[in-house]
Amino acid sequence: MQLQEELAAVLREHGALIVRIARSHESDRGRAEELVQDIHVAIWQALPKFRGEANVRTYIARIAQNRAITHVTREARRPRSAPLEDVVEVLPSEAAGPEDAAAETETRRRLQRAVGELPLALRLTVTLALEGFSPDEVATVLGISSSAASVRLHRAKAALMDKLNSGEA
Amino acid sequence: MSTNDWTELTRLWQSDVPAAAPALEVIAKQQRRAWVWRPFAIFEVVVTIVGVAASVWIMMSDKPNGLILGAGTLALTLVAGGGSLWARSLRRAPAADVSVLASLDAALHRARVSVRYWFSTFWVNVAYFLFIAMLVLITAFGQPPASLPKMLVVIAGAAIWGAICQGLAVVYYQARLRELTRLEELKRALDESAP
Repeated sequence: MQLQEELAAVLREHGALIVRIARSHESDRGRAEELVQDIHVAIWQALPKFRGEANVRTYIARIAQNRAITHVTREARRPRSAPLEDVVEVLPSEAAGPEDAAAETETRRRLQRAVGELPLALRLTVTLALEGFSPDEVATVLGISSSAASVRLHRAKAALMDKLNSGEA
Repeated sequence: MSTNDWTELTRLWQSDVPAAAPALEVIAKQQRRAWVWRPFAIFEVVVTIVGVAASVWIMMSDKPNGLILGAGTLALTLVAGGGSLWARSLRRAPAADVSVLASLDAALHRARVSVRYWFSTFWVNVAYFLFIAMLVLITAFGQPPASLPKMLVVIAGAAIWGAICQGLAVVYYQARLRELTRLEELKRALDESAP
């Protein structure tokens, strides 16, 4: 029971991060939800081993990205019966007027699509960058050196901006 | 790309998603399934023990061709048990909280165990068919004519069972091989994007 309470507390704090990571790797809404559930299970299994050496947010992101990789590999062999959906939810925008709100929603969709279309290695990095992780934290999550993480972050951001600016997404 | 652009993108990225409720039902299901691998391992140990005991019993019995049949059963049992042990010897428990590269290495390792397991199963089935062939020969030349039809029905049943098992082994082997290839591609992609 205590573990469930711990899990609930972690998900209250970092649940949205998990959903965003899942959606960056899976564009089908149903499968993205399955991935979120998989990540919850993985966190529930890993929590008893968490000894506070790492930041909780980094720890959760690491588990989420690991599960996402498993998901991406597994999904490659599952046929897709329906066309891919946009998983971006249209939530009330903070923008002032209805036109601004619509423009913001559209940019959000393009951003989500652009992230999803990046190659996996860059997608892993750019998702963490968009979540505000520092190069050191990205290095911890990916298991690479800080300098390598900095270079990869630079490349990933540039690739994302290229996609957004070229209008491919 | 200006800092402002990036700040705006991170704001947009982080502003659109509500958290999902904890997947407690899935977790409960997972808890119930946690024991599933054990019956498989126990089954294989029990089958190996029973197989060895049966082989010794057949060899020591005064049945016609008992020595050949017993030796064949023993060889088949040892090949099956050894194959399973060989495949499982690579297994180690995966951890969810390691880095992405370490996790990918672990996934590659697990995929290799699976490929090895189904490869070994394939050859165990080949050994099984050789055993069936030996039985056919013994039956054809060594049994009294009256018991021949009954024995042939038993052998045909065993051969059909073996064919089903071999079909499954081939399908699973190919699926695991494809998974291994995909993981190796992922690993290559991650390595190539490293500076």
